Amino acid sequence: MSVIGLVFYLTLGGNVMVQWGLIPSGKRGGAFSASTLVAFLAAAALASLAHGLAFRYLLSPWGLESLAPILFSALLFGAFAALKAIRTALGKPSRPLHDEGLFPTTLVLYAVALSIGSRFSSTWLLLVGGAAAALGYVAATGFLEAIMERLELERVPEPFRGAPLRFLSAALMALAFAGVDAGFFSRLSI
Amino acid sequence: MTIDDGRVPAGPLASIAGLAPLLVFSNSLSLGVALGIAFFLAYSAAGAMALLLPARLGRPAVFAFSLTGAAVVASLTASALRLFDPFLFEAAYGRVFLSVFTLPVLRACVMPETVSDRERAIESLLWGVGYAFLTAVTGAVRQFLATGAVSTRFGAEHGSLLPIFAQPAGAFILIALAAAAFKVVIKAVRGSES
Repeated sequence: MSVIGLVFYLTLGGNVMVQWGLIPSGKRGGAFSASTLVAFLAAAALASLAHGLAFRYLLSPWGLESLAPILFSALLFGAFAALKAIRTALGKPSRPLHDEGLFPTTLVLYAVALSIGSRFSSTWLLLVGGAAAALGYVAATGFLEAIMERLELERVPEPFRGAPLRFLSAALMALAFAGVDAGFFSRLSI
Repeated sequence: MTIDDGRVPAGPLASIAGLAPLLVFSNSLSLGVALGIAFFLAYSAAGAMALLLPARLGRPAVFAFSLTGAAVVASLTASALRLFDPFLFEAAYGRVFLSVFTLPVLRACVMPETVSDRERAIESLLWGVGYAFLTAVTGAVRQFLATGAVSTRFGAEHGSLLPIFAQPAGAFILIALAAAAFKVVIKAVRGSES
């Protein structure tokens, strides 16, 4: 599969938001600033690369695949400590690791790393795949938020307002993405 | 379920949204039970460590130790699952690992702030049991809706009733209906109290 095909696949058929159930809980999705988006894509690419290489060359040869979550925790703590040191050196405040606002991002990064790390072995594809999966997630959350904004204008039965409507919208998106996957990407030879 | 400044409020519906990565994958009874057990063990380990570690370590250190503890427990669970059923391990290991980073487990890693929060440990444990049970029940219900039968053996599903329920879209529909029903019940209970 070409790099362009990979990006399209991870944005539609293999989208991590619908495949991994990473439904954003509110209005933050789709509201990324350009710098946040770049940082998120870079973090996802590096997480996929680090997790993929460590899983393939460190854990698998020794039959230690089960240690993957401990490895990712260590990578997470190391990356966070480095980021905190850089921000401190620049005189900027940094959020603590136990800040609840960071939890969804951590979950998405690990899902991207797991999804991409188990699929590719080359460094280049791990990097591009991680960034593409993160881009697909951002695009899908943008679509979902746009749908939710549009539905706020409709007369929706009271019990379905809020979380139920968000899940129903995600279900329709998942169906659409599955249709694209079945109708297009499944016929491509990888 | 609203979110302000990126902060996700705790609550049953928000927690169900946080469990969605497991619920979406739980499309059979065996997978649901495996994921439910993995989640409960990681959640309990995280909660116990956050509660029992000395407060003088500070919140960041307690969070780091608790998350590492939950990751170790998830690793042990995955190893046990591999011995028990290698095929089930191959299918579910990614989600077993991911259970450590679901929102309920990450919240459980945060050191309780007040004495009353600490005294609610049993309540938190019961919520963990409830979430694990929900994951297993979701698997059984989705398997029944998708195939017309429920099997305790992984990979033994045959038949076809509503195959969409084996897909992520089916999980989202089921969660949406359950959340709507939950809202109706809560509203009815509050209405009867007033």
